[in-house]
Amino acid sequence: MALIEVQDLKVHFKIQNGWVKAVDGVSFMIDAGETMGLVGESGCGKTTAAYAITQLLPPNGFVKSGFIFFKEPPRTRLLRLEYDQMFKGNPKGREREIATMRARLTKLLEEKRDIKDKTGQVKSKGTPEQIERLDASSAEVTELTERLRALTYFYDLLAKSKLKDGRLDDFNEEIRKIRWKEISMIFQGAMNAFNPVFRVGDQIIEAIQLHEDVDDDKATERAKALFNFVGIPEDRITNYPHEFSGGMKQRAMIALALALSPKFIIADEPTTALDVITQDRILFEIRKLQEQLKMAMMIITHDVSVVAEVSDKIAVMYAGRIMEIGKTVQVFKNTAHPYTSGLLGSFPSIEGERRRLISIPGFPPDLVNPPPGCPFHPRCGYAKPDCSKVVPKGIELEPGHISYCHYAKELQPNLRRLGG
Amino acid sequence: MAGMSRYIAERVIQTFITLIIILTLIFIMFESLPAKPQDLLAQNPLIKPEDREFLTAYFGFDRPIQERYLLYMQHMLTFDFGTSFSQAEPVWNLLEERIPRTLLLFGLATIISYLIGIYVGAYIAWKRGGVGDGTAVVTSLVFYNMPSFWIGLIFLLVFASQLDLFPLTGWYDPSVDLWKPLNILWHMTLPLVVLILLNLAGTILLMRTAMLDIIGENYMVTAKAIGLPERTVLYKHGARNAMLPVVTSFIISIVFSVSGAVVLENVFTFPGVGALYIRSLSQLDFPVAEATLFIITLLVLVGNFFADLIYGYLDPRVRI
Amino acid sequence: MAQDTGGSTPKPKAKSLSKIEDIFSDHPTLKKYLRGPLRTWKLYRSSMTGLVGLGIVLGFFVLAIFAPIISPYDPEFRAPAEDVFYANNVELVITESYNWSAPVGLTADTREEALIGLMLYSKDDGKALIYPVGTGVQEIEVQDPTTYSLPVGFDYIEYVHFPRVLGETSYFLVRDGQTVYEYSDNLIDLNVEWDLGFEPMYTSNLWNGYTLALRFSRLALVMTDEHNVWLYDKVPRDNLGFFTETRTFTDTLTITDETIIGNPLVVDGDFEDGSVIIIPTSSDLRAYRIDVEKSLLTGIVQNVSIGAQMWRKNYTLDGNEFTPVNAKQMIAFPYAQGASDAFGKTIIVLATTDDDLIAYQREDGEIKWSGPLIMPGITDFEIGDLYSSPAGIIVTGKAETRGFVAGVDPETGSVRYNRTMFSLTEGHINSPPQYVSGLGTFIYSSDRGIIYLSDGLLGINATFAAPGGGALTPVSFLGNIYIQSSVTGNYFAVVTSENTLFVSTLSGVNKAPLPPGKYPSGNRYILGTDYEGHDILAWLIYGTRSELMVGITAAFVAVVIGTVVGLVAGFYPGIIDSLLMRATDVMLSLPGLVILLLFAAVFGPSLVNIMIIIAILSWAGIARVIRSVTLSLKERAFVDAAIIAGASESRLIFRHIAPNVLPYTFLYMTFTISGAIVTEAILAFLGFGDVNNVTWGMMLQYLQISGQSLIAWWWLLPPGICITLLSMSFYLIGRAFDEVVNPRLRKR
Repeated sequence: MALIEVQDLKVHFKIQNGWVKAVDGVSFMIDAGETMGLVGESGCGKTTAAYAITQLLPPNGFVKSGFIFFKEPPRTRLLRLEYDQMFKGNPKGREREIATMRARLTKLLEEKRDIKDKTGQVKSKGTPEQIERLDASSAEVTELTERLRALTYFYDLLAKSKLKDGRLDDFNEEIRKIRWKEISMIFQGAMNAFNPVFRVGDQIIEAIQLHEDVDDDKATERAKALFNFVGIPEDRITNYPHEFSGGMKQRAMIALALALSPKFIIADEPTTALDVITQDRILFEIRKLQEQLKMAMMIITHDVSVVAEVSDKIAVMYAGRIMEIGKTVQVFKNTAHPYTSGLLGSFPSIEGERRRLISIPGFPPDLVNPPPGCPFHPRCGYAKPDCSKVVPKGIELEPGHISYCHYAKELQPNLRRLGG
Repeated sequence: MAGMSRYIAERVIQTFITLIIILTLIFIMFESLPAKPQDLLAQNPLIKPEDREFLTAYFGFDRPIQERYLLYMQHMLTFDFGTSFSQAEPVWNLLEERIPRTLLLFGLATIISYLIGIYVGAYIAWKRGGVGDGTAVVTSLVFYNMPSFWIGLIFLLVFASQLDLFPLTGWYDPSVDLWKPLNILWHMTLPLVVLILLNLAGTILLMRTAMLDIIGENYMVTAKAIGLPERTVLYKHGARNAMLPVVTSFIISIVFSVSGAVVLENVFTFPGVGALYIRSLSQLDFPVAEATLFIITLLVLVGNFFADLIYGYLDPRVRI
Repeated sequence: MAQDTGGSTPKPKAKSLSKIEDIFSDHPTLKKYLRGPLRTWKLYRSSMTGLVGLGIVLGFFVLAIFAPIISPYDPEFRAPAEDVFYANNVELVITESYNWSAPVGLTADTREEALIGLMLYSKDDGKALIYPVGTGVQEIEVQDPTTYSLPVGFDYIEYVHFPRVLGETSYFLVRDGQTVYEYSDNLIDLNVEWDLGFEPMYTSNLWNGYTLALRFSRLALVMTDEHNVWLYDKVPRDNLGFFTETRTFTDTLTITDETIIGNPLVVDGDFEDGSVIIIPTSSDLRAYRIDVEKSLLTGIVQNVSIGAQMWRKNYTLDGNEFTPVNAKQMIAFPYAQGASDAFGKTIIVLATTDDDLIAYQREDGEIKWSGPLIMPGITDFEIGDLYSSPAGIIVTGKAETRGFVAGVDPETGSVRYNRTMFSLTEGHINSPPQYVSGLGTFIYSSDRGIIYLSDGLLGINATFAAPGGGALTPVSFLGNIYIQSSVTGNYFAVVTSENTLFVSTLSGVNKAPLPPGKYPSGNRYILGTDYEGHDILAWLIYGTRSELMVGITAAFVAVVIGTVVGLVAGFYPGIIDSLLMRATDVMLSLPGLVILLLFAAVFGPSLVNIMIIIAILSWAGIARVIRSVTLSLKERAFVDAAIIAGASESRLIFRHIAPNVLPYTFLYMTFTISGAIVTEAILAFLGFGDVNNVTWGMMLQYLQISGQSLIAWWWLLPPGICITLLSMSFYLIGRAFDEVVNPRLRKR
């Protein structure tokens, strides 16, 4: 069951000389308890994609299109896909449908109000027919509600907060309730993720008390427990951030992320800028989360080795687009995109055999004027003329393993891969 | 908190050393005047011969410079300022009732303008790029560069003379039937508002810049990601940090603000220390000039000391 | 940055560069040098406020440079009297062109000193014109003159009026060499002419006694040459014939041991006992008693003679010799005759070549007080003449190119009141400041043809230029005029300029400051005038010059000091650094402006001093910034590279670090200019500005002093707006440039 589903997400940044197309049509799906690694070079848009989920985009960020469905029940999803198919190219029809359904729903609810009082009790002694009608209409209300939700993208986080021009309402009430309670984050550079003028413990307590009605003692207890969980002595909750070491801060960050036992954690470069031993500890903590708390995670990193260790699934991003997505094993063993191949080749393997490291020639493209067609074609050793003209569609090579390369099938056997 | 008390002790010592250095500078300046106080003293017929002898002994005009310096230091640090040349009255009598007035005017203006300035500065930085931001920035820029006395004159022209809402001069008018604190406040309104406007402009600009600096900080993203409401993110997490550089630069603004107060007292004929200072300078009344300059400097240093304390309270990183 | 190294192939990017770059693209070297500025300009251009600031500053520069072309008037220009005064002016063209003397007013006794006529006298041919003056309802009428012929070449002329019981008698005393003529006031009767038998060199004040109770008048005068003193005593004729007219040289005195060097002074001359003649000689000051012999029966003065020497004082002060400048610089105070309560309190005041004032007690010649004349803010001056007036001792003199009038407290010898107890004029004062009792006003003129009216505190109340321009004879106060009995205190000023007789009733009410508009003289004052009739717009435009000069120079000096200190502190860590930084800490906690006021009061308010002081007080902030920039530059790789390459310290500082610090230096210079402009304005406003230059702050100070600040909005607003605009523009340039220098700011 998909916990979060991102569809055709486009996030562009407005700058002085145009638009930076940081995320330009990204889709992926993460199931409950699943960990996905989002890999790519710096500046490929992976952090932007993650920040679009929690809606923490800078003020010049505009969501041009796309949906982010969170905790969508499977039936709603099916209905939604059905409706999408039904009203494809006919948005007016969709609106009409929504209007009719709303009208019907309003009528039903009014009827219901006539029969029942505020406490939900039937007002007068209802006749059996009335009660029967009430039951029937209740079922219809449920059904209508579900269909309306599917039609109006009720579970789309963006639909809740997107303003007319594509910017997001930063402090949308509904989004605020979801933040941290449902989706929390482990930030890149946890060094500065804690406010330097407040105690670390107080900041965790603040998060807990914001979302749950807990008294101070209880919240403190929980903060201590969290510290214990990530392996920091619990008396350090009264310390200020500057009294923590880098690794401790990162672990405190993890404690903060876990404070409300969210369903989904986004870890943005959790190990970058840490030394190898600390990195290892942090990865250990992350694995602990997966195993003990069964949380879904998205790990954003440029370090393929991190992903290899902890993720079930991998999405490779380049120039604002996904190049290849699939199970970790699929991507690593059956690499089906020249970029993935190049990326894997440029990292040393922690556990694998010794190999020669190869770097990809050239520079990542300017996202203001990305190359037409496949964005990777100027650097691709296998590029053909049509690569620079047609944007590749996803080719599903095996279930769940999709490559966005025109020649994925032809190239797959020749590509260099882990262990290959 | 051991860290805090050590921090305070350090600040006290630092402030005291600065005070001594500044006092010495003032002494050197007065010593290098072309017109010697003792000459002026000798000319003044208002001063009786016995007073003259007393003053000579008091200032040590007949003694070598190093002894004069020690005498001067002793007098200043014990608030024993001697007698005015122009009014034949102890300087302290002149200062006594003026210090509270200036403190009230200056203190109120500083506190109010900081409170409003921090609030507004943080807010407009948060809503940067909007109409409110633009208006506030341009207004602040204009006021920041306006000569204080000129705004004072305009306020007098508009609110005191044309609209006749406030008195033109003074500090308290017993002939008006008004509860005394209100009477004083009524007299103080115009200078106070002008001083606030002046200080406010600088504080808003400074706070806005400081806020813009921290708005991109990771902890601001964290605060937002946690799901905190906008007000909390803005004021608890943002403004609290952005205030730090504002408090640091308090020393520059307090100097600015004291200058403003001195000038405005003159414009509004507000009987405070600043007006006395200017008068004593034009009359070359050295004991009064020395004493008022000392009081003003002290005001600046004490203000700065408090700013340091507030900084220590606000930023845990300095109290180690 | 790396992209700049990318070869010679033109990049598509180059299209977006400005046209200037295209023009220079053919000149590689030029292009190389222009690349930096062009890049800066490209970044700078993106700031709207920065462009506005730059535009305004350039505008002010244009104003400053082309001030003489743009400005409608000179800064010295004053609105003519017809625009400025509620004055009933009569201008008469005198048909004959002669070398006219200062006009003399003839007064009648119906009211005290009421004017009845004017007399002009030409030394060239002895022609005298008398204009009868009458008063209308609201104005004066000057009637056609009667011409008289007098002897040619008089060099001394004095008008004396004798009030009598019935009618009055007026005389002209005229002297030509050894001959003295006495005319009655119609100039027809030559009463007497006699030969003195000597040629006087010095003449005392006129000793004019009048006792109401006895209703008699008497006149005496002391004249001397280098060694001889003559006392001239006259009893005028009376209409009833009780007294016959007499004139005598009652007494003479010869001083053989020394030479007389100046006018004698008659003190307490109401023909009572105890009157004194003070005679300055080359080595000392001598006082002789005047013996007055009265009839025991009637109390009428019988005889006046020079009596015994009362005292004699050498010209020494504190054991040092001094030189009295000349006899004119000796006066008695109070000047009132016969004021018996003043008897004994009278002092004789003398000015010395060292610009000291010395007051002697009349009684014994003891020095009551002495000391230099101190006028805050004016250091370089020279005392001219002293005058006695009811308002105090009036000292006039020269302060560089200007004249000054100062009121001195007769009790202490200090310039009595606040800074308004003296004022400066344009050009030197050329007529005695005359006290007009009805108004408590002084009237005097300067050699630039400007007539000044000063109030009792000597603040200049009004000025007006003589009609027709050109040189003036000294202005004469002629007497009061009474228009209908209720109106009092009007008086006349009369000047001749070339061939114009100018008579004016000055009610003392000045129309200036004039609001913007067109005026009777045909002049248009776009922004109105100030109290002295200066065109506001002209002053605004000329003020730009001083403002820019002060701002830029002060900021430049401050920035140079700040940069050097910052560089040194940043470059030499350890003791030097911490010492310099402590120093900047102290400088930063000094209440700058307050100290600035002290400096300005002490060292005199010249523009140069103000610039230096502002610079000294504002380098500290810059030093801090430059130090931190230096510190961060030191960490950069290119400095390490230079060190490894063996660069010397000085090369390191000047070749590698200083150029990278320069942008910051420029940045802080703009901010400092902005601050300096406002600071200068505040100083000037508080009265510590340079009076020799037009500045905006000073315009506002004049406004404040004139007491017009609640009325003259056209005078209040423009200077303040200009100060704000100019200061803000530099500040805006700084802000925009800040974004260029600190890329961190650009992201927003």
